[in-house]
Formats: sequence, C-alpha cells, structure tokens
Amino acid sequence: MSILLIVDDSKTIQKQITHFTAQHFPELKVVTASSAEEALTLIPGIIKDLRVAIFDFNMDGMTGLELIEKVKDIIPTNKIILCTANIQEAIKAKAHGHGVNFKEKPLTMDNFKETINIVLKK
Amino acid sequence: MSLQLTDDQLDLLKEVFNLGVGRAAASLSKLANNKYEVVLSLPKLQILPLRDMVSILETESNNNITCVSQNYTGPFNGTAHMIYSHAASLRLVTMMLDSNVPSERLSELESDALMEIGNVLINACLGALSRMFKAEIETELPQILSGTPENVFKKGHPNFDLPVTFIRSEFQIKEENLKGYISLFLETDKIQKLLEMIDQYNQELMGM
Repeated sequence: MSILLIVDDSKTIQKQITHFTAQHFPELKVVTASSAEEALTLIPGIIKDLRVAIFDFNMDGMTGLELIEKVKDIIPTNKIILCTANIQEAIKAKAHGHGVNFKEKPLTMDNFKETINIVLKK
Repeated sequence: MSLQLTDDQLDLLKEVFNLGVGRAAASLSKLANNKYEVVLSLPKLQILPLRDMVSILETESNNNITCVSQNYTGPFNGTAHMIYSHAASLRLVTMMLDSNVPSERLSELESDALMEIGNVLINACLGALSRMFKAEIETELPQILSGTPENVFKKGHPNFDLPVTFIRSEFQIKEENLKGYISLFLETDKIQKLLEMIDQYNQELMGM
C-alpha cells in the first residue's frame, strides 16, 4: 500500500493530517514519526512504498531541513513537503534549493488535497 | 483555581503558539529586509501563578519588558499578551531601521514595530484556532506597555495569585549574536471554554 509519512512533533498535526488523508486519499496509509531521528529509523522499512513525505521544520533535535539533507539521496525531493509556519524567505529559499515543496502551516483540508494531488502526479 | 492540562491540550496550545511565533519570525525577518534569519526554539508551556511568571520575566529581562496586549472575543474571550525583553527588542528594532533614523524617533518606531510583530503573533495564534474550530474570533486594537514586569501587569491584574498559561520560545539572530524571548500568556480562568473546544476538536479528529 502506498505510504504518506508525517514527521511532526505535534500529535495534533499528526492527527489532523491523518484525518485529512482518510477523507481524501484513503488509498494512502499514514505512517507517523514525532522526530527526524525517529523518521530515519522508519524510512528504510517503508521506502519502497513511500509516495509523499511531510516534514515539519521546527522540531526538537534535527530540523526538517536537516532531515531533508539526510534523506535526499533516497527519497526524491519532489515527493517531500516542508510544512511550517516559519515562512521566512531564508527557509523557503533553502527548501526550494533542495527541490522540495514548501507549504505554510496550518494546512487546511483544501490546500492539503491540492498539494498532495500535485505531489502524487510528480 | 488549579488547572491540569491533558497531553492533547498541551500539544495543541504549543502547536498554535508555534504557528504564531513562526509568523512573527517571518515578520521580523521581513521588516529587516530578509537580511537575517531568525532561529526559534521549541515552545515551553507552564501553568503558574502570575507572580511566578513575573519573577521569571524580572530575571530574564533584566527587569524591563515591553508587552503588547490584545483582547479577543468569540467562542472564548480573553487577553493575549506578547512579551519581549526590552533590551532585545530595542536592538531588534535598531537592526530593522535605517541607521539614519534620528534617535528621538527610535522609541516611537520601536513601539510601532513591536506592536506590529505582537499583532502578527497574536493574530496568527488566534487565526489558527479560528480555522481549527471554524469559529470567528475578533480582536481589539493592540496596546503596548513598557516597564518592570510588576508594573506592566499590576494594572490589569490586581490578583498576582491568578494562574496563567505562559508559553515562550527563544529567538536568536546569529548574524547579530542577539537572543531574546517571545512569550505569550493567557489568563487561565478564561481558557476553560478554549480547552473544551480543544477536546471537542480532538474528539472529532479521533472519531473519523
């Protein structure tokens, strides 16, 4: 089954995205990680089914951008969405420099649906 | 009044503050023409008597703060306060402004810039709640006060035993070796309705 990975230290955001996914993309199974470090242990086991990965930026330990650095050779960066309320140009520029999608938090049901559809077509 | 928050309530309040601080950081950076990147720590949340919060602020701010307060009304009412240490905020504003600005205008512009950032932070937090709960939350115009933490809060809060929900993040501007705190506090006796809505929101997500 195709997998959507959420890496976010907020359980609220994990639940919200899980809810949005169940509503609009029931074909995707959601896998959650509460830190970049946890994601790094999960990714090898799910990599062949991974279709979309949503990374938070501001997390304890490694940031979402640091996680991108670690996984960019095994996950196509156009399948990654960096999702943050920290919409500083410097952070956007770094995200775009890696070729990842950048989305402002909070996601609404509509912009989640639109973004996931775009990423799934890439 | 004693208050114990559940893990879900804590998580949602911290996330909402994180959204607000993220927007405030972007505004700060934009005001400085994107010359600086503002690095933020994860938010810490405490429920404590106002007097203890005042003590923390006295120590951390060298007893001089600037506070932007804004009343909000809607399904839950209250006042959100964004607090800066005065020294950090003054340096921030100096960084943002043209060095040709006469010093007599600096304090006027400082108030204006801090009010704007406070307004962004508070409205981003409330906006996030409003979108989550699909409810309209209206805000009044922000007010700004500077001085010792005790003096700033004495007027609106005669009872220093009042429990408050105190959330803060550290911000850092590496290029300028500048550190400070952005804090928000909510009067705990007024957040019961907010907590009920958080519980309802979480139940809706779980009951999908």
